[in-house]
Amino acid sequence: MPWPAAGTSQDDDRGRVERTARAVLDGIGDPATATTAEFLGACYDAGLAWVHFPVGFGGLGLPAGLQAAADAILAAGGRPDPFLNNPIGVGMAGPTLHGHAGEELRAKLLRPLYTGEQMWAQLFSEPGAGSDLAGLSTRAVRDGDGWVVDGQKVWTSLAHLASWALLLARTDPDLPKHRGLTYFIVDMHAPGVEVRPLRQATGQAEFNEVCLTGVRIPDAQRLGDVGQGWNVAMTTLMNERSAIGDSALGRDSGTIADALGLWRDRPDLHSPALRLRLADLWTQAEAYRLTGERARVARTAGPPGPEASIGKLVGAELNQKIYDFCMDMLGPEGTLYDSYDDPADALAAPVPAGAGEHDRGRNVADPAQRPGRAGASVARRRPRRHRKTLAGHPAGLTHPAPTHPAPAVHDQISARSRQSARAGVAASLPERCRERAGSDRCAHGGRPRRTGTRSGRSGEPS
Amino acid sequence: MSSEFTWSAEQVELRRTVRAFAAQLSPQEEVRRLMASPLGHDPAVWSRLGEELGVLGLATDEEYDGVGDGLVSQAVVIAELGRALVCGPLLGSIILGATVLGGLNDKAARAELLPGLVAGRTSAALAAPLHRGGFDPTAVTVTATVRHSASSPGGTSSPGGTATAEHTLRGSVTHVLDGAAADLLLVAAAIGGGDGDGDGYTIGLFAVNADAAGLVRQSTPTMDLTRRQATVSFNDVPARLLAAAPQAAAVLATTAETAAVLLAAEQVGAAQYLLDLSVEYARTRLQFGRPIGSFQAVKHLCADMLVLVEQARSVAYHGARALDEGTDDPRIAASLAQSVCSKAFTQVAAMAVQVHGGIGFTWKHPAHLYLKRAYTDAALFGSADAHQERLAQLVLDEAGTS
Ligand SMILES: Cc1cc2nc3c(=O)[nH]c(=O)nc-3n(C[C@H](O)[C@H](O)[C@H](O)COP(=O)(O)OP(=O)(O)OC[C@H]3O[C@@H](n4cnc5c(N)ncnc54)[C@H](O)[C@@H]3O)c2cc1C
Repeated sequence: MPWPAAGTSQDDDRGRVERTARAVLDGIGDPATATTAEFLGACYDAGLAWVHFPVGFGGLGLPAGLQAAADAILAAGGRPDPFLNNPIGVGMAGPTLHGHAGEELRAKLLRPLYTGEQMWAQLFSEPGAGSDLAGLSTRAVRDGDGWVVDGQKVWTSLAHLASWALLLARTDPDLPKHRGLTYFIVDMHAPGVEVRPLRQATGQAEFNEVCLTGVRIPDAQRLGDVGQGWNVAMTTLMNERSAIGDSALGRDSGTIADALGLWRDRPDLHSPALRLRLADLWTQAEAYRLTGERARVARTAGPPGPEASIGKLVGAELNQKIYDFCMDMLGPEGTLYDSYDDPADALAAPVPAGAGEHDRGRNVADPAQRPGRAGASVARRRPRRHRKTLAGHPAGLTHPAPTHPAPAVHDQISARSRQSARAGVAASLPERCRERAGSDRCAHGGRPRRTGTRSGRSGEPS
Repeated sequence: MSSEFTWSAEQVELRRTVRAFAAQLSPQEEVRRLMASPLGHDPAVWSRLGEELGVLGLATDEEYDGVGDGLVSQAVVIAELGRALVCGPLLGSIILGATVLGGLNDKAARAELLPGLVAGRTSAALAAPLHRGGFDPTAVTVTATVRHSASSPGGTSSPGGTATAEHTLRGSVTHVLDGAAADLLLVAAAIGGGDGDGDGYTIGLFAVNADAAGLVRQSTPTMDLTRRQATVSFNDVPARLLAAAPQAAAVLATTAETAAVLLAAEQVGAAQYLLDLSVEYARTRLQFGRPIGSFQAVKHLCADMLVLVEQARSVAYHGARALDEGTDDPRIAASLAQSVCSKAFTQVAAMAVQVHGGIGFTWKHPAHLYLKRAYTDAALFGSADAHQERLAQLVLDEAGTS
C-alpha cells in the first residue's frame, strides 16, 4: 500500500472534521443522558457518519481517510459504536446504498440505519450457494412495476431483528451465473418473508433461515441495473471486508485486551511458558494493529483494496491464538460455561450498543470472481465477562456458577473465516488463478421449504 | 519396537465390538438426549459396557473382576467411546477411580471397591489436583483431622463406608469430574498435626461415601455438556483412609500418568471421527459444481487433519505401551501423549468446523460437541503447555545433570 502524500488542503479538512466532532460532543453534553439513537443521530446530522458521503446523507463530501479523525474524538467522547450497534447496516448496507441507491432511498434509509433504529441483514447465502455465492437460485421475476421473489436463504445473521435486508436474487436463469443476478433491498416485514431462527454452536440463535414466498419488491428497491447484481454485491463484500479488517483500535485493545486482562487479574495462573507466549501474542497484535492503521491512512479515498484482506487474514488467526492462550491459561476454569440457553428477551431487543464485539466470519471466495465472501456477524452476548467474574477470587468458582464467554467456541467464527481472507488476498494478486466453475447449477428458482423444523436440511449438500 | 504399534486380534475385535455397541446404543440423538438429562448418562448402558462387554476393566487385575489386559486394550476401547462421545462416568470411575484403587497396597479396599466400578454398577470420582500435568500436593485444598469421637460414620455398607472412619475432611474441591453422582469419592487430603503448624502435613488418600454427613455436591455448568463436573465440599465429613504418606502421593502421581495416556486415547478417537466426518463432507458437498474436496485449500485442510490425528495416535499408544511394559520413562511418555494429543484434537476440531462452513456452526451439527470436548480434554489433566514444561524438565534439565 502506498504512503499517502501529505497535503495542506487535507490538513484543513482534518481541522474541520475535528471541530465538527467536538461540536457534536458539546451538543450532546453528558453522554450518559443521550440514547444511542440520539447520539448517533447527532453524528449523522453533522456529517460524521461517513465523512465521504455527500452532505445531507451522513457525510461531508470529504476523503474517507478523515473518518478516523472523527471517530477518534467521538469514541473518546462516549459515542456508542455504530458498527456494533448495526453491523450489517453500517458495515455493508450503508456503503452499498451510497454507491448504488437513488437519492430518495438514501434519504429515507441512511439515517435510521446509522442510528440503529432500523437493523439490517444480508440475504446472500443459500443452502446450495455459500462460497459459490453466484450459484444462488432464489428467483426474482418481473411483475408489472415490481418483482416477485421466491427462494430460501440461510445463515442470515440478525434477520430476526432486521427491518431491511440486502438481497441478491437471480433474474435471468439463462445467462451465465454471475450475469443473471440482480440486487434488491427488501422490507423484512413484507408479506411472504418468514424468518426462522437457527441455533448456533454457542446455544444462541443469532443467525436464521429466511424463506421468501411470493415477496413483492417495488422496482424502486432495485440497486444497480438488472443483471448487475454481482457488481453491486462486490461493493457490499469489499466494504464488509474493510469493516472487519481495519477498524481503529488503540494499543492493548481488542482481543489482546482479554488476554492481558486475564494475565493481570490472575497472577496465580502465571507460568514462564505462558508469559513468553503472551509476549509473543502481544507483539503480533501490535504488528497487526499498526498494519491496520497504515491501511487506514493509505485509504484516503476510493474503494477498499487488498490491504483490508491482509488485516482480516492476520486478525482471524491472531484472535484464535489469543483465545487458545486464554483457555490454556484458565485451565479447568475454562471448561465451564454459564449457559447455552438463549434468553428470549435478548432476542426481542436489538443488540445494544457496546454489547460486545462482533466477530464476523466470512467464507471462502470464488478465487476467480471475488475477493471475499459474505458476512457472518455474531454479537457476543457475554463480552469479556470472564475477566471480571474470575478476577482474583478462585472462591467464586463454587457459586454462583462462573461465567466466561467460552472464547474457543466463539472464535470458531474467525477460525472458519481464515480461508476466505486468504482467498481474498490471493484474488487481489495480479496473477490470480482463475478457477471457473464448470456448470451453472442454479438456473431454477428454488421453492421455499414449508416444513416447520427450525433448521431442517439447511446447508446440507445439495 | 516391533510390537509397539501392532494390535492383537482381540484388540481388533474389541474395537469393532465397542464401535458397533456405540453405534447402536449411543447414536448422536441419544448423546444429545443424555446431555440434556439431569444425570447425564444412562446407567443401564454404562453397566452393559462393564458387565456385558467387559470393556471397563481391561487394565484392572482379574482378581478384582477385571481382564488384566493392560492399558493398550483399555486405550483401544476409550478411543471408541470418545469417537461416539458415549456418555458415562468414564473419567471418574475408570480413568481415575479404577486407576487409583488399582494402585493401592490395601488389598481389602481394592477387593471391596474395584469390582463394582469395572462392572459399571457403581461409580467413583477423584477429588485431587491433577490439572497441572501431574499430581500437585501443594494444590490440595482438603484437610483431614483424626476423629476423636468414636461415634459411627452413619452406619452404611455401601462402598467406602464399611470400615470405621477415623478421619474427618474439611475443604472444597472444584472441577471434580463425574463428582455429582458418584457413589464413591476418592479424596486427596492434607493430614495436619492439628496444632496450628500448617507446614508439616502429609498427603493421604481417603474414601468418602456418597451419603456421608457433611458432604455437599454441586453440579457446575460445563462447556462440554456431555461431561459433568461438580464442586464438592467437605464439612467435617467422615472418611476412610485408603493410603497414607508416602504411598498416597505416589499412587496419585501414577494415576496422573495413566490418566494422561488414557485421555490421549479418547482425544485420538474423537479426532479421528472428525477427520472421517470432514473427509466425507468434502467429498459430497458441492460448490462451484464440484465437491469442495477437489479444491486444494480444502484438500490441504483434510491432509493436515490426518497428519495431526496420526501423530496423536502414535504418541497415545506409545504412552499406553510404555506404562504397561516400561518401554519408556512413564513421565515422559505421559506428557508426550498429552501435549501432542491436546493440541491435535483442538486443532482438528477447529479445522472440522472450517471444512463444514455454515452448517458446522449450528447446534444441530456434531462439530461443536467435539469442539467443546476438545477444549475441555485439553484442560483436564494439564494443558499442552504444562506437559511441555514437564518435558523440558525431564528431557532438558535432568538430562544435563545425569
Ligand atoms: C456465524 C455465521 C454468520 C453468517 N451470516 C451470514 C449473513 O448474515 N448473510 C449471509 O448471506 N451469509 C451469512 N453466513 C454464511 C457464510 O457467508 C457462508 O457460511 C459462507 O459463505 C460459506 O458457505 P457455506 O457455509 O455454504 O460453506 P461451503 O461453501 O460449503 O464451504 C465449506 C468449506 O469449503 C471451503 N471451500 C468451498 N469452496 C472453496 C474453494 N473454491 N476453494 C477453497 N475452499 C473452498 C470453504 O472455505 C469451507 O471451508 C454466515 C455464516 C456463519 C457461520
